[in-house]
Amino acid sequence: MYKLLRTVHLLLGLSCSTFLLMYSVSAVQMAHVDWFSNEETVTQGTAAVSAESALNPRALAQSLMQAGMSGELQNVEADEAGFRFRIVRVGTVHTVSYSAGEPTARLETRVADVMGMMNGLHHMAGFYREQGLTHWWGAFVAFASLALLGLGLTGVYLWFRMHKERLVGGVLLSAGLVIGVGLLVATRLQP
Amino acid sequence: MYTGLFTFTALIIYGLSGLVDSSLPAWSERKAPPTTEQFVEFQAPGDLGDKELADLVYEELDMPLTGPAAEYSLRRDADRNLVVNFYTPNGFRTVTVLERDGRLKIVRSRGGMASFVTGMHGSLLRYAAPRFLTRAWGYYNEAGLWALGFMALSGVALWLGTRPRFVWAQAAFVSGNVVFLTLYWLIR
Repeated sequence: MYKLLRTVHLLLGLSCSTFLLMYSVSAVQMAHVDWFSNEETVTQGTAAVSAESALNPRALAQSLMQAGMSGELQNVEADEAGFRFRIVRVGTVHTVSYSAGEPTARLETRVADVMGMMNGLHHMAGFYREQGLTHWWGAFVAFASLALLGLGLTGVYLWFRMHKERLVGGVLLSAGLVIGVGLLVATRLQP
Repeated sequence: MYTGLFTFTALIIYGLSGLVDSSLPAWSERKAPPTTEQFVEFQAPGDLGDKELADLVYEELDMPLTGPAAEYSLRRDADRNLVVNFYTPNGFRTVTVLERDGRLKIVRSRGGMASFVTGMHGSLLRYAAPRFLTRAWGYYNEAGLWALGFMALSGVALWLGTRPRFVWAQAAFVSGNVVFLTLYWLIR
């Protein structure tokens, strides 16, 4: 049993070590925003608008996506003067503004740096997004989450089997449980 | 090992939060939590700006787990009343200042355990309300996020130092990295 769980612990940890490191680094970035540059590359441009794609925001977004722009359509605003929307994928935001009657739409593209990209990936989970690739990411988030639970539980078992380490580990585990579970329960009991 | 034992609770919360987020539907399809309404007498001084008034409301109500409202959580409703949102891991408290009536309308939402777990996972010290419980969890959560990175690196180092030729371990490490890097570049 010990050897089996030690191998499971090793394989789970190694298979998602990069995922877990990404979560840790991006969490540190969120916790200490001012430690990082968080730079974006901003480019401006225009795109030709055909008569069909000038009809509504979805039609224009569709034509832009057919021309290679990828992401999810978000923040759609439309009025008599024209429309605005965003096409968003992790780390990249295209803002599109179109004034009614004009032959072109204005584009602004913001591309996040590596830290911004990791921040975006940290917040991406689930299987409800339109882009197929994000479903694969969602699957690995679910796997990494299960792996983290497995690592925790097998880790506690492996520690417990190391008799020499029981005292120090027991104190640390107990302290962590009292602090962590105590704070969770006390917080949840608040009105 | 020691870091993992001490931060065990935080790591379990991270894992559960990931599973919760993995199972949620799109934002538009998520059910809003149940709410309760309450009215409290409150005379708003006439010489305050919105932020100052929101701070006064915060001091007056002294709601658990909340901190002073940020500028972005203030708005005016259709009747031009100030609406202030206070966030807690248990749910939102939306307070409408009914100046003409001389009272506050407090709408409390109480999320389920799933939203509580994800809320606690994201409760960082930087954003913690100035309350003992939120600050203490912020410190514990900070320890957890550093521990996670340390364990990811030390686990690889321990493997390389003890069983580097174990083929299944090599395969797990390589496949995990290939998947991560491939998805990173394809999603970008």
